[in-house]
Amino acid sequence: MPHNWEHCFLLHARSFGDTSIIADVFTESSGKISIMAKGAKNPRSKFFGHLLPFSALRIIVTGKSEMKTLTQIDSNFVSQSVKGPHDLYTYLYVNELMMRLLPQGLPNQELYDLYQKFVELARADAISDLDLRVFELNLLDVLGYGINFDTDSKENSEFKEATLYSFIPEKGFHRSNDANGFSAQEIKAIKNRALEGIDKLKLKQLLQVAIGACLDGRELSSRDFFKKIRI
Amino acid sequence: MSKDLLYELIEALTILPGVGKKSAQRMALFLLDKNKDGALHLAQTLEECLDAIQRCEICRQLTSESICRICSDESRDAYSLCVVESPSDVLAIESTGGFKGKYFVLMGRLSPIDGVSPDDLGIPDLLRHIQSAKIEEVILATSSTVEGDATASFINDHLDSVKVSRISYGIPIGGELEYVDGNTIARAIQGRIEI
Ligand SMILES: [Zn+2]
Repeated sequence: MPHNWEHCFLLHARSFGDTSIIADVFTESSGKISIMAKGAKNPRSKFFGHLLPFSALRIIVTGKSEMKTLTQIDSNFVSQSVKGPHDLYTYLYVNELMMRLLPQGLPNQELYDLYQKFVELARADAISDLDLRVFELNLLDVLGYGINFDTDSKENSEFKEATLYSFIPEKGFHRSNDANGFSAQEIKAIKNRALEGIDKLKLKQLLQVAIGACLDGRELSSRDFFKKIRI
Repeated sequence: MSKDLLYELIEALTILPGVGKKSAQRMALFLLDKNKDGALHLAQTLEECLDAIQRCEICRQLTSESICRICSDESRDAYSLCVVESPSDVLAIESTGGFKGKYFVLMGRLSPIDGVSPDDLGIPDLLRHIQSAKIEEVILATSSTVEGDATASFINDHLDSVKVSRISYGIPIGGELEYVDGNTIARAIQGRIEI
């Protein structure tokens, strides 16, 4: 079988031994896969300097096992990685999300397009908090973890005016007396990704809970990593 | 079957980076045949090193003393601190002779996915050291990768009363210092940019 060029984004790279790199890439045609780039840490290697997070690459891989071997990289098709300093923590967070949430080896065009759009924004260093929230919401949707924004999960009825709703992961919104809850109007706005008028912290917490439920209790490291240290 | 130590030595030498079977054979024969004194010295030094090697209490560089050679050198600029990712970065910068201050070795870079946290890199120790040693300039020489940049900005976010600069000039994107030639590193340090 002839080996084909594949488009992909690099999610994460780590050293393997003194000279090689193991990378996780999100390919358009095969989904997330792990690749071994032998000798890639050597400046004379054809892979050197290309295996960076967020780089868009065109590659050929071989191998039948879970770990593929990188054999070619199209050096005419290498886009730059992202540059900070502003949103580096966000970028690392997003790639950790992708690493943790994506199943191995399952192509998903919608997700690929979504991620591509995010990387383009990141390259322009133009990611706002709200862009990140929209990305998280869309990510949950494409992965099948989407939040139900249409009905009260307990009463199975439409959301009513002048009522507040709390969010329970894997179930959805239900009527509650929590002053921190969401109004019907806010829920509709989130559904439509019209996030401007919604309290930022409340929104962030909603997504934190929703994403947390998809991770089976495993914590995302990048959440606590970048908290200020007190000495 | 008796074991032949010659083959064991050849096998043992292949653990070295960049040493394949062929070079290992050449090395083994050279040591055993052409330079027995050198071989003995190598064996003894290696054994002593393994016994004595530890991390410098101040900068975390590998050393056989509790405080490394650079940290205890009083002729060096004690107010200028260069933060690097690995012991080999110290050697790379030292070989250029272009930096006369002291170092702090993180032993890695922040990587949430790999679980490498600020604590793992000794960043709290670094911040305390900068404060107590009254460091005036901090040069962040972490690699030009997203993680290296994030590590640099994380440290920078915690510093407000010192001059902070980042080396970048000429270091290839994704480059790790140990693979960059001396001239490039020297230029990078000279051309550091205050952030
Ligand atoms: Zn030291």
